[in-house]
Amino acid sequence: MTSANTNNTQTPKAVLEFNEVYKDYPDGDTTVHALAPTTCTIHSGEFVAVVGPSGSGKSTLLTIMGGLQKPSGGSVSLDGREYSHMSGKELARLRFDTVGFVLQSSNLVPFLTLEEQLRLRSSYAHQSFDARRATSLMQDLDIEKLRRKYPDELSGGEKQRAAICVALFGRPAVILADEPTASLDTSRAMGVADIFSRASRREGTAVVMVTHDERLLEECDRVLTIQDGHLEESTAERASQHA
Amino acid sequence: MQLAWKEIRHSKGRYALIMAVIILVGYLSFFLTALSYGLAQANRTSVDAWDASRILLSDDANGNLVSSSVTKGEESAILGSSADSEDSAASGDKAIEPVSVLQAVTKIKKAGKASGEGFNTVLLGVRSSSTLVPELVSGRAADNDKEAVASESLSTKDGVQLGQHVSVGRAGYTYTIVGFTRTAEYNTEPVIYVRNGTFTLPSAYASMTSASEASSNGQQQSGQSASAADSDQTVVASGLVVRDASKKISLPDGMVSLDIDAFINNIPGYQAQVLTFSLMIGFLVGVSALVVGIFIYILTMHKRHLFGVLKAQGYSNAFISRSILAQTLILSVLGTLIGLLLALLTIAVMPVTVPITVSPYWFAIISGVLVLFSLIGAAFSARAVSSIDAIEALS
Ligand SMILES: Nc1ncnc2c1ncn2[C@@H]1O[C@H](COP(=O)(O)OP(=O)(O)OP(=O)(O)O)[C@@H](O)[C@H]1O
Ligand SMILES: [Mg+2]
Repeated sequence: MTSANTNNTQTPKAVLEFNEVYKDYPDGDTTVHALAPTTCTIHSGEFVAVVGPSGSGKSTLLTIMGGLQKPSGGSVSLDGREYSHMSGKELARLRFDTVGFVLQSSNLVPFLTLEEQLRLRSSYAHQSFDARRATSLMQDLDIEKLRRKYPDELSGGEKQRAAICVALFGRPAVILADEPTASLDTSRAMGVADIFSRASRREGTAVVMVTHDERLLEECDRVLTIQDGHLEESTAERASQHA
Repeated sequence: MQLAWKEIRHSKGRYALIMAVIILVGYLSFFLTALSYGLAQANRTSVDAWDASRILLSDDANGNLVSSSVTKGEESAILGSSADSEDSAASGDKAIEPVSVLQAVTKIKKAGKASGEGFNTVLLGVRSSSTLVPELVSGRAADNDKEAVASESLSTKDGVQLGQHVSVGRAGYTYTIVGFTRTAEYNTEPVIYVRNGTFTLPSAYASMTSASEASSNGQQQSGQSASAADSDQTVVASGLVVRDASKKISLPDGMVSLDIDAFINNIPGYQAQVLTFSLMIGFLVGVSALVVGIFIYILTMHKRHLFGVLKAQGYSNAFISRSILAQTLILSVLGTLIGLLLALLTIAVMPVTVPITVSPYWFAIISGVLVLFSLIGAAFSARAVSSIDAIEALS
């Protein structure tokens, strides 16, 4: 497996490294500086929240982290691999191997049952389907009884958990979640944060979650605040909160 | 492939629509092809049965057998140039055979009198034991001047039976039908094979130059026995059929040699029919392939978000494109097969009078073209996939 790092006592590995990364969008004659030059590192096992007002550059940050778009400048390493010179095909493969996306809108395939969504990953990777992992993940997310259901037969919360299940199934080095709790009530939202928190601790997955929801922050190890494209570190220590 | 099939099963309604288009197009194409082929065959089966390479006609006939006439002199000049004696030419040499044609109405004779409406037929006069006659499916070969074998279609369509006497044309040439051949038609009319010389060729040339002989010999003349007395100007055949492509023939003045394909194209109406049908079918297949292609393209664009999501998750363009192509392959093959089945069922219940013939060769080509064109339409959609941005997954 590419990145399973279940041993938290070792020095955590850097799974995401930003070095002077910035992003400009051309906007007519002017340019929008969506992300000012940013340097930061995210380690395996960390659960990081990104907060900031609308239009501040959160999604831009997340898409660059996940290699969905390349930055205008600077270098990004995903799981130790710098991707700015990769071809689209290589980058797609890197995403497949190291990133799990959880999007606000559904990232499920509408014509596949929950279990088939997981099987699709395995068959694409030419791996045998790890039924035990699938079952234990689904149990963990309390969606085991939904394994034969199609996305349109699920509630909003169930869909969100199904999406998390798909994202976690491939043991990605990093989970990138863009407002995953936007459509959920408080207890469901807390539940989702809890799942991420556990995944990061048990499997060493780094989790970066964009959120507007203040209540979720106490689950996180770090909180990054972004304002007009400028990223700043706030403090929030999961360990100390839990102590 | 599996993904493609799962999606089709999941969104049945959406794909049923595309499938319906392909089925209907396939159905129509197959049906029209069978009709067109049937009509073409009805024009030429008798000629195809000759298995000839060329035909020698008179210059002024415009390539039309019915308008052509070969005189005694011309025939012996040609046969003489390729054989040692007339004798061997008449009985043994199968490389060049005379054929005479008369388009006339045939009536069944009952109690010695021709009765009923009569049906359009073509009388082909050939040598005894001629190789121009297709294989028999019932009865026996004609033994003498009074006997004839006819195309099977004369029995299936017009109800003529073995042993019946028929009367042909105004002159009332009378023959007994002793056998039926495989379907043999000329210019959409069933062929009756008789001995050459048992009917008078209705050629203006003949009536002007040898009117006296024609009246004195009449219909009783039996080609070979009376031939010695004929002058060189007597019309003895409509044309000469040449089997052997390599045969060297010195053509007398006033005769031309025509490739058999060119000859078939000259059958009145044949080329116009074939062209009309081909264009119709061609445009039908072409335009509907475009429609199917556009359908698939629209479907693909409807799924932009899904493809964006898959690309965000790292699935490659190739994977997504393959799935679109596989889907189209499934739809078009299935649709074509169902259309084919429906067409075959329809053809099976068509009355025998409809000239309709299944051509496996053309059906295979139509199927191939339908599937191929659909795939080309899908290929455009597949190309569009690479232009879909993974970021669209976020919107
Ligand atoms: N493709 C684009 N072209 C031009 N400008 C863009 C593009 N994408 C984003 N922007 C601009 O970049 C800035 C940051 O956008 P981004 O989507 O990252 O904000 P956000 O923090 O995710 O906002 P929200 O909370 O509303 O989702 C905004 O000013 C936006 O208008
Ligand atoms: Mg956003």
